[in-house]
Amino acid sequence: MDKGFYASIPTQRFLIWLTVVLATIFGIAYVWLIQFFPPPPADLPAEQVQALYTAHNVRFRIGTILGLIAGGFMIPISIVISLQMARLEKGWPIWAILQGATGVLGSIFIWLPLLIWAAAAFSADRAPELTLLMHEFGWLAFITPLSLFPMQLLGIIVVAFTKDEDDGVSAFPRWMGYLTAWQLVQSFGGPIAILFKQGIFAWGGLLPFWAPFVLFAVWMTAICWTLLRAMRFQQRAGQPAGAPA
Amino acid sequence: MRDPGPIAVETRRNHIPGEAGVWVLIFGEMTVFAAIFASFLHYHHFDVAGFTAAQAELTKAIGLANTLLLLTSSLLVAKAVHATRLGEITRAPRLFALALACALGFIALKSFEYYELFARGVAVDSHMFFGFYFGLTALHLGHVVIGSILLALLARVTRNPLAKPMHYALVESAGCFWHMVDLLWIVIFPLLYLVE
Repeated sequence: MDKGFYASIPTQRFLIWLTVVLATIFGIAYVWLIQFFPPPPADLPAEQVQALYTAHNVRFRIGTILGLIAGGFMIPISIVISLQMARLEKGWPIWAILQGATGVLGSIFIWLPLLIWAAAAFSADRAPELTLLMHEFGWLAFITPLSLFPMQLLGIIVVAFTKDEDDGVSAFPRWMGYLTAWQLVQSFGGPIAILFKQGIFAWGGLLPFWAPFVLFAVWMTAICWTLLRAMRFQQRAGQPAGAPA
Repeated sequence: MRDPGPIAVETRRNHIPGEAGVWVLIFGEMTVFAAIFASFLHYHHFDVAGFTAAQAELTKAIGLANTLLLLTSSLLVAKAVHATRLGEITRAPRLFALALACALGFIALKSFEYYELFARGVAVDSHMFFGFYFGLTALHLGHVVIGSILLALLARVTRNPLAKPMHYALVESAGCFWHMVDLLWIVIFPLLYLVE
C-alpha cells in the first residue's frame, strides 16, 4: 500500500475544512443573498425575471461576490480525495488523476454561473429580454454540467471496490462506492433540463435540481466524514498517508 | 476482511443478493422514478382526453417489443449470475453477452422510436404527455446505457474464475441494477403506452 510518497495529514485536514467553510459561504450567498433557492421557474416571463434582479439588486450583487470568492470549494477536497485515492491505487494513480482533473474542471461550472448572474444583475435596467438571456445562460450553466461528474465519480467507485484496505478504516468504504455510483446514475437529470421549461424535468424540477442537489449534499457530508476518519487511522498507525516505514 | 469461504456458500436460502449499498441505490432510484410516475398520473387526471390523444401517437408494438427485450435480458442476467456462482466460465460470459445484445436492441428500437416521432413533427413541448414521455424514457435510457456498460464488463470479467467472494457480490449487485432497469420499464411501459 505504501508507495513511499508522503502527504501531510494536517494539510489535508486543513483542505477539507477549507472546503467546508467555502461551501458554507457559497450556500449562504446562494440561498440568502442571491435567493435562487428554490430555483425560479424556468418559464418565467422576461419582466418577472428582470424583477428578480432589480428587486434586491445590491444584495444580489454582494451575493455573487461572495459566491465568486467561495465558488472553488470543490477544488481543495478534490485534491485530498485524489491523494487518498493515490495511496490505494497500484502503480501510477490513474483514477486519482482523472478524479482530481475532473473535480477541478467541474468547479468552473459552480463558479461561472455566479459570474453570469452577476453580469445579468450589473445593468438590470436594460431590456428585459437581454436579462432573460443571461439568466437562462446562468441557470443552464449551473444545472447541465452535472453530466461532467461521472468521470470524477468513476475513479472513486473503482477504488472503493478494488482497494486492499479494510472498509472500517478506509476513506472509500464499499458503501461509499455505492453512494457514489448512485450519484453517477443521477447525473443524467442535468442535461435533460435543456429540453424543458415546466415540470419535474425543468431546471427547478425534481430531476435536474432537487434529487442531485440533496444527494450531493449527502455525498459531500459522507466523504468529508470518511476522509477525516481515514486520516485519524493513518495518523494513529504512525504512517502519515503512506510515509515510508 | 472476513472471508465467507467458497462462493457456493452463498446459495443458502435467506441470502440477500448483492450488498446493502446497492439496495440503497436501487430503492433511492425507484423512489425518484415513483415521484415521476405520481407526477404523471397527477397531470393525467386533469387532461385525460389530451393525454389519450397524445398517447395515440405512440407505436404500442415498439413499446411491447422493448418490454420483451428487457424481460428476456433480465432472465438471461439471472441465469448468468447463477452460472457465475457455479463457476461456469464459458456459459456465464455468453449469457451476459446475450443480455447485452438485448439491451443494445432496446437502445436501437428506442432510438428508432424517437427518430420516427420527430420525423412526424412530434416535439417535447407538443403536449405535456410528450414532456413526460421524452423525459421519462430518456432518463430510463440513460440507466439502460449504464446497465449495458456493466453487462459488457461482466461478460468480460466472468471469463476467468472470480478471485474473491467479494467480486461475486459485485457481479450480483450489477445484476440487481439490471433487474431494476427492467422493473422500471415494466412500470413505464403501461403508464405511457397503455393507461387510458
